[in-house]
Amino acid sequence: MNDKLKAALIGGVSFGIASGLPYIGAVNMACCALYIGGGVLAAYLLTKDLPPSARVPYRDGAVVGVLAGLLGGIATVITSLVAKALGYDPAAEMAAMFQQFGMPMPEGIGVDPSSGMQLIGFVFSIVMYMIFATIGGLVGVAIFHKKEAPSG
Amino acid sequence: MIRTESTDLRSPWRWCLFLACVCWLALVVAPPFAGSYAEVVRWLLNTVCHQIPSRSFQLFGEPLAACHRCTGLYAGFTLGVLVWPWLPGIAARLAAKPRWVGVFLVPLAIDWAIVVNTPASRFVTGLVAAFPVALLPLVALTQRTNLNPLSQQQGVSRDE
Repeated sequence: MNDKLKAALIGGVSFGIASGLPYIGAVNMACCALYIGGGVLAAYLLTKDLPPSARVPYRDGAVVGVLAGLLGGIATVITSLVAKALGYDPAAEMAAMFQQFGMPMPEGIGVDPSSGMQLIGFVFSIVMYMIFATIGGLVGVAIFHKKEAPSG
Repeated sequence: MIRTESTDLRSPWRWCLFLACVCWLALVVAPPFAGSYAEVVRWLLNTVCHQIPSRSFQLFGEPLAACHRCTGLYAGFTLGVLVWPWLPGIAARLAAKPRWVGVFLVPLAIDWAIVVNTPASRFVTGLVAAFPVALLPLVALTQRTNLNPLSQQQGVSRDE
């Protein structure tokens, strides 16, 4: 398997499943931490075996981030559908969380969307996962890239 | 000679990136103007932000679709995409040591960790964290279009 695809599969799917899980998925409300994390992990897996180079492979980081986002987004959708089929109600979880912190429930969050809207929501969440994982991939290569030592 | 990143960030593709950022910001600001669609906009962005009204900017008495910190992050990134191509010297220094991008995330982490923070501190730390990150996709776009191979070899900008 292609190195980029392998890194994207591990990074994207692991964080994608986490994003679709009850309670753990709420971590995304902190600046899309899991979406970005999927891209960072994919970038780390890609760069860890690369030899040191003078040029940071931002292009590879972006590509692996987009792939991680696509695969992670699909994994999130599947995981959330399975969780819903098992009786998990995300709106009830949100309401409980806001109640626990003594805050009013923001408008629109408790909305139970129609199946058409649900589909739009899934597509939108995959696109968002791709955007944020791409940023994660870029940040990941910036952090984990091994720089070539100056010669002479 | 060690090759460094190109500092000529004026790829034509940056305008596509900037347009996408502006569209995203428009979505965040949309609820006060969206009438009955405000709920739909909030529902769409709910997966990436908690949208707590007391922690969001308000326009005409309506909270925006993202919190102070996320609004700062999006605004900082958009500003970065617009401004970095005009700061080739600083961009070259940051591109040569990209790990410094992580340093700008520290104020955000501290502000998030402390109990007492303000709307201004949340917005500003978000802005400061995202502004340098915007340099990374711009450099990636330059690598993609390979606009300025000479500067990539010599580590200088066409403008310098």
